[in-house]
Amino acid sequence: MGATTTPSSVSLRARLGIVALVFLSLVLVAAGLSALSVRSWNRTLETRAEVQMATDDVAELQLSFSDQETAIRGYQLSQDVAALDPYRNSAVVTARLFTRLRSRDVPAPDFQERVDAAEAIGAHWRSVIAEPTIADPDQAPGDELARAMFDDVRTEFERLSETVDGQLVRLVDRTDQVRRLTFGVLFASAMAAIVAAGLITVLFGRWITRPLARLATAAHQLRTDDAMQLPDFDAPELQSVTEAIRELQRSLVSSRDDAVTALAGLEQSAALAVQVRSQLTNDIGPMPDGWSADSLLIPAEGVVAGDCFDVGLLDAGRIYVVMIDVTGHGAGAALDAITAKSQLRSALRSRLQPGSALDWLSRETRRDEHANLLTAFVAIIDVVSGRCDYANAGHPPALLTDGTEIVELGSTGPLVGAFRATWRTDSVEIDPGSMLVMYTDGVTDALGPDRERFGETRLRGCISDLDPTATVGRIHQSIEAFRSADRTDDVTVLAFSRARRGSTLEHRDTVTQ
Amino acid sequence: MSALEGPLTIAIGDDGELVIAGEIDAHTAPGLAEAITRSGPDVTIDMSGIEFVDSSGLRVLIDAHQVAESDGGSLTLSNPSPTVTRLLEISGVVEYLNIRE
Repeated sequence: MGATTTPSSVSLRARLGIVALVFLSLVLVAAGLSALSVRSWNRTLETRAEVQMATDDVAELQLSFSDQETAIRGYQLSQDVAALDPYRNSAVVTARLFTRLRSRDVPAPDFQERVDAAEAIGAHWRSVIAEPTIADPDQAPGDELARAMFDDVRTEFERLSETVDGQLVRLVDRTDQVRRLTFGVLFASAMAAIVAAGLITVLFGRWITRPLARLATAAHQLRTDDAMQLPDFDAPELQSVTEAIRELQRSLVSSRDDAVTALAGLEQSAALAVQVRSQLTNDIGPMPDGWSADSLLIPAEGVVAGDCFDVGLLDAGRIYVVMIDVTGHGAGAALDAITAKSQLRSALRSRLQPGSALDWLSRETRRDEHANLLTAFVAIIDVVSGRCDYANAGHPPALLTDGTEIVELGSTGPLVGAFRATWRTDSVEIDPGSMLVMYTDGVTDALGPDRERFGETRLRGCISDLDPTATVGRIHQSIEAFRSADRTDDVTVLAFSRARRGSTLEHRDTVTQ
Repeated sequence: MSALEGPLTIAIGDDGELVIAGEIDAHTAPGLAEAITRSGPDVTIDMSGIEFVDSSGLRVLIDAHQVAESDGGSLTLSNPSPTVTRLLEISGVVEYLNIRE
């Protein structure tokens, strides 16, 4: 599953940048062309309006000269000075019209020339025909000359009119062309924008959306096929995501392989765990007359814990009892428990008192820096006198009861393995009709609803008679009824009862697997 | 958090002490051990909010005490609740640990 990114591959950032640049350029070009077209259209319209006004000016000039010519004719016939008023008024108007006409922006190349010619011939008519006639009507030029000259004036004004009208016609055509061009540019810009948007959508899908969909599909398939081949991509960014998922895929496969290996190891060690557990479990051997005992050892669920006990005869008249709880779980704790049990048994059989046996165990334990801490209750019971010599190394107190009250056989030293310490041996009498109950913290720490613990009060409530079997059974039933979670620690109980004088007792033991 | 995991909150008090509340068991003990390690050679733990300590929690406290002693520091457990005091008495470690009522 190697990377296939080629050096020539273009990043998505670069691709999108190029697309954005092209699109922006397209927008700028379209906007520029549209603006130019609209501006050209406006200018053409303005020019057309100017030429239209020039046409009106020319028509007004023609009318004005006709009025002058008519006024001169009238004056010549009537010799009434009042008949000259239209001439003089029109002359003023004519001068203003020429001035205005010259200011018109008419884009015909010969426009000014035509205006000059019209003005010149008008002035010539006035100086040759009009003014002499006004000065002396009787000496006025002849009709032939006057008509001929005014025809020249009319002809020149018609040329000017044709020039301006022709320009107006061209501008009307030009306006139509510019309008069509403007609409064309706007339409083309709109179409280009639509096409560009479509192209961008296609490229986005090809570069991003579809590759991501392929990647998502492949990633989903990893749930059912962790050997799934993930797709490769040209874009470095997407390839980077693929590589990250591949890394995760390799990690998952590695974790799965580790889990499979661990499972195989667990399966192999399960047999060992059963063997270790069997060594932690003891049957209580035959008990002397007048004594009975029963026990309960419920292993923790899913783990091997470190509870164990050992009961036996030191000689015909003495019973030894050992209960051990090693802190921690696993094979190490279980092996420590087996070792401690064996060492305490050896110490007791070497006639050491319980406290001294713990001293010796402590020394042995502290030599092993890997050893776990442990609590222990160790007792030697004289079956005839009922004297019980015991030592308690941080273990839950054993409970001695005569059926009416309960006495605690508590700590005579700390738990073993932590401190350089010695353990005191205390003594108590187990009178006929009494029972001694030992247990580990798996009993009192059993977890019930609302994280409540089974506790000492419930335990004491189970000690209501002097029958070891019934007592152990009640404790077992109470814990099972109380607990709301898996057992994470062993539950161990050991009960000894000394019969009242004259009674016949037997012993039983119970080990629950 | 599964049903077996006991909740434990760890905070730093006004005087720099660790103020802890909840339960110290096999699941929460590693977190407490780490907090103690980070606290330096002289550590005081306000235990007034602790409702339960199992053997795993006790082991963390004992280990921390021993490490502090060997490093020239100290570990002090202050204001233990009656439940915790009972556990320390049962375990026989009252005279070995620094406990301040």
